Amino acid sequence: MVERAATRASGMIDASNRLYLQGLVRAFGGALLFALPLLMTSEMWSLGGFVMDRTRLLIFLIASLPMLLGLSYYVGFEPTFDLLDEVLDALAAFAVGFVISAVALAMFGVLDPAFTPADLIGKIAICTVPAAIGALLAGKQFQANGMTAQRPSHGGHGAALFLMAVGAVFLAFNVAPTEEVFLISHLMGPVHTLVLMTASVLVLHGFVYALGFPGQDRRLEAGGLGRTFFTYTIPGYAIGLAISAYCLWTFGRFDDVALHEQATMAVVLGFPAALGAATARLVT
Amino acid sequence: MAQSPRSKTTAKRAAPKPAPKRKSAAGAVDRTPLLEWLSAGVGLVLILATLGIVGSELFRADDTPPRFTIRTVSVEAIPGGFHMVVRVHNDGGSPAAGVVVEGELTPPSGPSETAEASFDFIADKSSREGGLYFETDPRQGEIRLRAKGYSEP
Repeated sequence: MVERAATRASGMIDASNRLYLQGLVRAFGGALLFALPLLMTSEMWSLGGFVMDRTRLLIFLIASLPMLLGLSYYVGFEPTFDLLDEVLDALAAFAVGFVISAVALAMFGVLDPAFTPADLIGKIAICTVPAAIGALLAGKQFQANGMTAQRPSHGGHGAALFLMAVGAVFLAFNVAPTEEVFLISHLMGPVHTLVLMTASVLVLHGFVYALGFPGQDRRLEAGGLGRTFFTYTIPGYAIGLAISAYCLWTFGRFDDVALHEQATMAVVLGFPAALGAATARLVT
Repeated sequence: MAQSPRSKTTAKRAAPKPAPKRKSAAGAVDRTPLLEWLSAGVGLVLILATLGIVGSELFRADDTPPRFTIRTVSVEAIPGGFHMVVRVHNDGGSPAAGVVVEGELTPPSGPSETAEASFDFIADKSSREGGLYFETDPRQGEIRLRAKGYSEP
């Protein structure tokens, strides 16, 4: 009797383990898909290694943890049922991101043993965060079974803004570490900047209005164009700009740069951020 | 899982809840898969270790400027001259970019010659290797190696 119960229990554990393993494989796929462009960007190696201020790296790592938890709640790589489950998944996503980053960087020969351990860990850590985000977006990217129906219940204005922020990070982070943000902002004059801001807002508004908001079942019809603009588009763009500025500060792009240059750079990065926020519904 | 294969397929298509992960009403069996605990555990360890290592750098409080010690690793004859591998070690507490290393070779007879190599990045407490080319054999003459300059990364 006891034995039979034990066998049945172990059978259940096997089945749930298998399901979880599927989720984990999805997570690895998502991490690879999202982080590969960054893993193959040389700025990421030098930034994580020794160029980036350690305090900012630490803040970045700590700030990423609640975001991973939020993503685990809203998207995730496997269905979650309670807070414990979500915390466990967020932790696992970090592990997945770390492993992917470490293996990829080692494979590319980036992890030169001549560097100090702290440098090596820094290089891996800075890539781990985007990889972990990718891991948690895997459920949506690979259309996991039984995962889509879970989402709409979480919806709401706050959820939409959080997912917009994730979308903004998703796209902006791919561009943020590169030299090009700086170069483009140098090429642009004040008129260019204003045009780019207008374009960002229009793109964001167009997408949000056409696609609907992340975390919601259907396109929100109530309120109309004007209300959508003030409740979603403007906050969405503000979030995009804030995330851009934060990324640029984290990567030290704001150091010893005049205020108007900083603003231009934030606007330049704000364009992919706005696009990411606008298409958050597609990724999350 | 106590489901027939057929009901499992339906569950996959329609119902979003894989039954095994729900805790039973009695709460006796925690059905969070072992693998989930394991991978989360690995994640927790990695997070703490990463934060610890990055954080410990903050308290290292070594922000001395870059200081370089340069030594010869090997010399070999190549067509048209000699190839000397040098190893540059940054003893200081700050990383350096664009480090230019110069080797000045004074042979026993004849004019002295210089060779230069630049290094994109040399992290603090880390080494990089590079090569210098000379026309005469550096093993014969007197060699002086020095870092000429760097910029902040």
